[in-house]
Amino acid sequence: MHPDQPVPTGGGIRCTEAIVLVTMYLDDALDDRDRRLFERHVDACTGCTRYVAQIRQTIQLTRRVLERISVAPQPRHDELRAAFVARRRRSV
Amino acid sequence: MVVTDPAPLPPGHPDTEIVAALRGGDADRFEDLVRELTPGLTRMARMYVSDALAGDVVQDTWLAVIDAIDTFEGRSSLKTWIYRILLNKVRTLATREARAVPVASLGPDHDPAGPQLELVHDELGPGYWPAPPEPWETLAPERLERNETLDRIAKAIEALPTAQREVVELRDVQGWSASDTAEALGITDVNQRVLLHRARRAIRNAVEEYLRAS
Repeated sequence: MHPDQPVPTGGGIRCTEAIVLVTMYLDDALDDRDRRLFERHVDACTGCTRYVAQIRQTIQLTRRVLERISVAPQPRHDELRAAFVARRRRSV
Repeated sequence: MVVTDPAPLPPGHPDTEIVAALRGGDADRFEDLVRELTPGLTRMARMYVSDALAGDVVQDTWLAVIDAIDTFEGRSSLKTWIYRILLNKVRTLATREARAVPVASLGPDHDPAGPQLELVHDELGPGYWPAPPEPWETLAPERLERNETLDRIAKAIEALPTAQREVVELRDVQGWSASDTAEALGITDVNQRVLLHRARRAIRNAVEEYLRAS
């Protein structure tokens, strides 16, 4: 159930506090008490439900940024391989 | 070069096998590792120096890995150890080139995302959304899937303070774990999370702004 606005409850948290906890929540780094408070708030709050969804979308989109990056300059593989062979032979 | 016995890795270290291969002179395994990690290393180096220099720093990093692999003690993963070598080199170089990151950008004061979201609801008062944010699917569904959205995100990442960029790059672009990221960057888990939180908020705000402008 998502009423349009959160209902403040005794001992609960506000939207600003829920927002602060989002990153820890997504990392599964909240202790049981904070996770319960967070989930109870978000379940009752349309704004925070949407905000959490948008942070999840942000993460998914950010991951796709790699697709858009031009190919990185390639290392000089031959040179590195030669250096590896020369130096490792000496020390093995 | 003084040849000493390679440092032993802790029992059960996940990189035991590849480290042994590298120490034993397996050039194919070395080249595979170079191919796997070079794109990410280059992206990290580019945060500090020009494209051309970034390529050189990455090359130097690999040479340092070849020389130092015997000293790897396995206190972190091999990958984070290599990133630390790169970061040491590129930060030193950037300082010398006077392209160093301004100290202010590392602190909490300089934050392009602005201060804490100020939410004030008409009846509930401060701390609550005045109105829920518009879902992105209804705001501009046709834009959300466009490449331009990804370009906007790339720009938003570039505009972040370096400390935030490093974290979001490893966590969200490259998909690293929180602990590997903190380890590679030499910061605490808490610090890592604070920087990530700010970075995601700034990127989310940039996406919203872009979608809203449609």
